[in-house]
Amino acid sequence: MYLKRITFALLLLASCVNIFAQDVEFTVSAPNVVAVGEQFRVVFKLNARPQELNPPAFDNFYILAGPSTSSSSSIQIINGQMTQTYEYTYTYILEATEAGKFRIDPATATVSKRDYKTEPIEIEVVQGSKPSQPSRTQPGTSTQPQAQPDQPADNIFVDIEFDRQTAYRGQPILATLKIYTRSNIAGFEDIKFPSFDGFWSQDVETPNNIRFERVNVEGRIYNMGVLKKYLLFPQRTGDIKIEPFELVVVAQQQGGRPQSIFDEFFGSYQNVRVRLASKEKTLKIRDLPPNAPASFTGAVGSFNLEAAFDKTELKTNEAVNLKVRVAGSGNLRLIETPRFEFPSSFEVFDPKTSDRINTTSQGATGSKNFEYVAIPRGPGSFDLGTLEFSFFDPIKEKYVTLNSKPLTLNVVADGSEQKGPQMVGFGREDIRFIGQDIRFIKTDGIRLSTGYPILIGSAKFYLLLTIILIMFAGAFWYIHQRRKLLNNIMLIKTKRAKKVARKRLHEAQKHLLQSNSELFHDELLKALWGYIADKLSIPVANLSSDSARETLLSNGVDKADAEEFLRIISVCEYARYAPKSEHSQMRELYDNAIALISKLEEIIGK
Amino acid sequence: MRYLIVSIIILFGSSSLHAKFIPDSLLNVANNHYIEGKFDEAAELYQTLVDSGYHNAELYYNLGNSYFKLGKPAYAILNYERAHRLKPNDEDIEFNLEYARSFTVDRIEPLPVFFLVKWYRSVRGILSTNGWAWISLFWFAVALTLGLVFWFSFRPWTKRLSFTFGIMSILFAVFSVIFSVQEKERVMLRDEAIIFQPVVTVKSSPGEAGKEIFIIHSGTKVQITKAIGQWVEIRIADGNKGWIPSETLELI
Repeated sequence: MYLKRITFALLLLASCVNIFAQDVEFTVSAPNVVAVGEQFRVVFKLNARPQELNPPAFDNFYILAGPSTSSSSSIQIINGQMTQTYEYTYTYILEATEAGKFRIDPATATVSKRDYKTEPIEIEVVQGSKPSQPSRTQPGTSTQPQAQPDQPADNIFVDIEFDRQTAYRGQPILATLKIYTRSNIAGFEDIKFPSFDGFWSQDVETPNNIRFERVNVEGRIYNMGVLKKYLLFPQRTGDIKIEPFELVVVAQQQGGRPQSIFDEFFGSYQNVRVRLASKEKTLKIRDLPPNAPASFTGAVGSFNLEAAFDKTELKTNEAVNLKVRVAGSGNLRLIETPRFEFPSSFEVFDPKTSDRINTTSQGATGSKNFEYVAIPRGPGSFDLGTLEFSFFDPIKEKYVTLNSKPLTLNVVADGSEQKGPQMVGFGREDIRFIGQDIRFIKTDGIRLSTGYPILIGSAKFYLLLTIILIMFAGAFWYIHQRRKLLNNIMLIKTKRAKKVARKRLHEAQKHLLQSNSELFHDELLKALWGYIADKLSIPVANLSSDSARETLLSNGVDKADAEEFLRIISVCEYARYAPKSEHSQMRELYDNAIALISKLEEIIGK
Repeated sequence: MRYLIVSIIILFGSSSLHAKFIPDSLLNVANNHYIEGKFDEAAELYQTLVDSGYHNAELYYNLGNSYFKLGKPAYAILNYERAHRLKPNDEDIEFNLEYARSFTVDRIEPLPVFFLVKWYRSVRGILSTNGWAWISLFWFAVALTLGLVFWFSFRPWTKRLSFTFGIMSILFAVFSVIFSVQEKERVMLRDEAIIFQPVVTVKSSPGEAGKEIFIIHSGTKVQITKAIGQWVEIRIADGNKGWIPSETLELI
């Protein structure tokens, strides 16, 4: 029994230690707007047992009740681990006495000899009526019915609020769709959200339950709830109108005659449908400054850049990844792939893009990754320079250019490919014409002239023609005369042939008488050849026995006579070099020659 | 000021013994201006040379280039056409003329030319009229020589060959004469003109009363077929005809 008690005490102690190890939270909650004369509560919450708690002085408020203390504790045992939670609440009920903004100083609590403070809060007190509490929110506040109910249309309105009215193209704008109400709301119907033309819009996560909080609108207290939040990225420039959004609110309206005893007791409510539309608003979107760097691809915001190869040493035909990470806040989703040029010996594939983006009311933050895949087809050490990325900073209103670390690659040959010829195909391309122009002036070989006389048809032309004609006529005449002369010589020769032959024969006769055989035959030969040559106008040099026979035959001489002629010739030629022949033989040959010449003279001697 | 100096040089040059030297140096100065990009000064010098009576295809071509660079396509076309008339087969002149034409407003589809005619013209354009004249004289002499050979030779094959070639050279001579005459007519006959006014309305008859038929723009080449007073009848490349005032055009 005693032992059991000690064990329990130890357990309790252990759990207490456990609790102290947890973070102590000390918070305060109060409505931020109240009306004069309205009762409201300020609640301090502490998740540990305090040794001491000092509430602040509520100087400008009248304390109706409090502090009322309540505490709760729970023990959980999960998988043998026990956790115990405490909750201490101190509640004050206050009443505002005058209008103005009042500060509630921090309350101090001491937990295990350490002091904890709440945040100071401000409460705005306005003159005017307080709204009825929406039934779904803030369950602690009183739900006393209003004395005189307002019309719902006056008590409910919707609005779009923007965190900035002017922005650069691409700079995010937070649009908040809000509903302000002084009535209880049963539900919404037929919500038409604006389409936000000219913007690229993204939903911002908002809690499903609409939390209302009190705000002061022109001296009246409304419960304000956020319906939806959008992050808008302007795509166009100029004044862009935001079309209103519309919805139907089912509001609960108090009133009507009580229909039963319960109605009288609880008050009677009536559901009223109210169609609401926000006001049309205009946003002014400025274009980005013109002096954009070359590497600017539309990023607006604030970013940092990382770029690295997954490996720097590799073999040819082995893929390498260039990973580029752009992180920061801005229009991340709209960033285009940064340009990066690989050398021509790399086969480059289309970059892969992935992103991880959180859209919050502070803007879109996160990162966007680009992955370039390239395969080197040739070995070498490559210095690829740096990857450049530019964005526009809308706060500093200037372009910022980021450079990655220098990128280098060392590619070694994998030994499978041949060097040289494979590479020839790369880098060759058709000539690209980048412009067109007239051709250059002529500078060489210009001989300036004041025009030249036309030759054709001119006197000079005809003169030249005549000169040529005269020259050729002269040539013709000359040749003709020469021919004539030549012919005359031949005629004379023919006429003189017999005489010459006779002279030669006479000479031969002399030699015959002197019995001079050699000279006789020589002379006889000359007589015969000379006769034939002169008579038939054959040059002596061209004469041979064959040509002589042919010529004789073609001139109508008998074959027998031609043979006789050739016989005498051959005898003479033979005898010329032979020993002395007989006188009688020479005599006979002489007679034969005379007889032949006489005969030929009759045939061709005309 | 520069113009003055140039005129003084011209004046001086024409009176001096080395009359030939000065225009050549002037041409060099103009070429240098062109190379340095001072097209207006180059154009002025070339124009001075043209005005003082020199006319060469190259001179017109350079002047056309300068005008083109100054953004006056009509002037450039006029001078290119003049250069083209003097040297019909020059590739550079044809290229620049074609390029300058692409800056004119009117796109006229020319009547198609039969390909044999095109060939004939391009063969004829190989030489100038004087070139063909000299060639014709040469072939005439060759034909006469062959005639003499034919007349006086005894051997039959010599006679046959000289006869054949003689007839051929006579044909060559005749064709050369025809080419020469036609080239002369082409050069001498100034029946083509370039429109110089930005917009010209072509009328159906001479005089203001004529009905307006079509509109042509500056830089367009027209052929003049008739002239009455201050009005000329023109024909454009697609065969359409009409009348325009003569001050709107400049003869090539």
